[in-house]
Amino acid sequence: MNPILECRNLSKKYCNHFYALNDLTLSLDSGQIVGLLGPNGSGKTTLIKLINGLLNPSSGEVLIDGKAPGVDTKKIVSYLPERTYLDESMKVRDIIRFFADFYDNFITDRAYQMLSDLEISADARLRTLSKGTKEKVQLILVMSRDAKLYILDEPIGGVDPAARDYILHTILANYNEESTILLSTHLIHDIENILDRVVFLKEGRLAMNAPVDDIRMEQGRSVDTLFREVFRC
Amino acid sequence: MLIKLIKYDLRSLNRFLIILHGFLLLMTIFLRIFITGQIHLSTDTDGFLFGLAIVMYTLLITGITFGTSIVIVVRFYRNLFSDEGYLSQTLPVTPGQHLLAKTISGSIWAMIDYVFILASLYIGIATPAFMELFYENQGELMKELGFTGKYADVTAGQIILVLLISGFIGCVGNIVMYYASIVLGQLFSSHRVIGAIACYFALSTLMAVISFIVMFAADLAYGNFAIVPAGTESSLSLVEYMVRILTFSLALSVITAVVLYILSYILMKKKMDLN
Amino acid sequence: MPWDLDNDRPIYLQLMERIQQDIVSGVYKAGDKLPSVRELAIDAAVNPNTMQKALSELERDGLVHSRRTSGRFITEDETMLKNLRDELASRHIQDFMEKMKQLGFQEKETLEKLQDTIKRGTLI
Repeated sequence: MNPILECRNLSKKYCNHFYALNDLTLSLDSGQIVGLLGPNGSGKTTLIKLINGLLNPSSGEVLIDGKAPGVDTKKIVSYLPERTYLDESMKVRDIIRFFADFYDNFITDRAYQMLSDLEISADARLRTLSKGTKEKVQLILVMSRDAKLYILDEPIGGVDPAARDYILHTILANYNEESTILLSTHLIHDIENILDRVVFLKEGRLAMNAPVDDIRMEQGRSVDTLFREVFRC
Repeated sequence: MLIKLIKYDLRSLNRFLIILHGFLLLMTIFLRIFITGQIHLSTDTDGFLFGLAIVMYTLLITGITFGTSIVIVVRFYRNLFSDEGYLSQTLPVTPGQHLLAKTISGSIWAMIDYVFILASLYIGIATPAFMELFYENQGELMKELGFTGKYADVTAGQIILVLLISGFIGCVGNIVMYYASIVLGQLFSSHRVIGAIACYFALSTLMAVISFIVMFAADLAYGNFAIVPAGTESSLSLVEYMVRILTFSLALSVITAVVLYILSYILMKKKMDLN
Repeated sequence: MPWDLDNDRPIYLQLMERIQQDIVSGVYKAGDKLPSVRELAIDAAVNPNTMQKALSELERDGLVHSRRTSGRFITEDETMLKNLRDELASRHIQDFMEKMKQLGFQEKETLEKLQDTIKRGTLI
């Protein structure tokens, strides 16, 4: 079976000769929740954009379920970017229709269930919603797909603790054991308990790729503590 | 998927463009009733009203056409290359489908715009006074314009057909050039919108230069093709002249549109990095 | 309410301990059906895979057993439950003794202190 995600000597150089990602080789098996960790500028978002085909690699390749980014991979990848990408003039109901129209694996009922759990009106225009609510709508859309790979870029950055708990709850409640979640964050402490594995990026390179319980067993300390040591300034 | 993309594009364009063309219609009725309708071709105020009508129409048509282009261009840019691009470009759709859908939806509205403007001009001009004058002098006028010989039997329907076909090619050509400019602008590492505008002006200039060179060459080769030297009596009638210019510029439009479309397609497929 | 978990020990071990605790304290009784892995994981706010691992370990110890289609059940083996209870008790006592030793109490002193506390009937 193909690993769900594979990077082979993947590099991304921006035009000012700065390597955002430098010769990254990485392979992840499906069925895990993986934390993609690293300080700002370590290449997390660059890697995520490469996986989604929003950037082209400078060299090397990235494969999702054995295929280069394209229509086939976009069908099985559900992506939450760190910014809001919705057409503000649409109503919540319209955007749900939009997702259902384009993604075969989108479960409309699930989306409406989550909306009602969060008491978000389907008739509200996105423009009228607060930033936090818009982010929740996006998370609902992304988690309402039965995808093979979920890529969540900073899903808990900048939200209050109650919202963060709901977000983690939503991720867990919709996760099924065959799928894979790649979750990028710099707030490790908050999500440590839901991760199977962590991938550390440092200056565009792979610094570590290990199961959380192994780290705790071998090092006798939390991933958060380890992270602070690896990236001590 | 293509149909779905076009559906959502049209839905987004409709919001602004229906209002814009509703306004055009209202203004046309206003112009017809209060300005062109008041020209009786006999009173003293005619000159003033005539001038006013021309000014108003120029402003109106320029404004509406510009507004329509802006709405179409902004939709293309916003949907594919701004934050919304994070969604559009991760849909299970190829870049080719995106480009085709946007070209079709944009062209549909550019064409609607063109037809509305033709209709608006007709409504404004075809007042009873003008029509009377026209029918009185039709024979002479047609002869003066050059509708003689092989053009003698041209019908109104044929003229409209020519207007529509050339309008269609022009609309699609414009849309393709707008999109190509935006795609080229994306190759800049920053200031991509300004880059797109610069690319548009560069492309327009390039087109003008190419068309001038080709015409000049044709003129040298065949003599008296299109450029009529000042002070000489042209052997061409206005109609013959127009037909030549039109054929030439349509051919050029089609070639440019094909080249720019392919260029946009290749760039969107291979080179795009979303900011 | 997420379960209270330490950051420096493997999570699955802590999940096992918590479930053992719940069995001994009577939250789950002998023969009871356990909630599904997903429900437990959401309740604890941990990864379902980790919860799965904890339950598999408990299963290996014989404390829970799964029936193919109907889920996981607490063992009905009373001896085993009694042993678990004893084991947890000794673990707590060991922790306690260790801490008292760190405070400088001899075993005899500790015992006296304990009897004293029980006699007065006040547990602070």
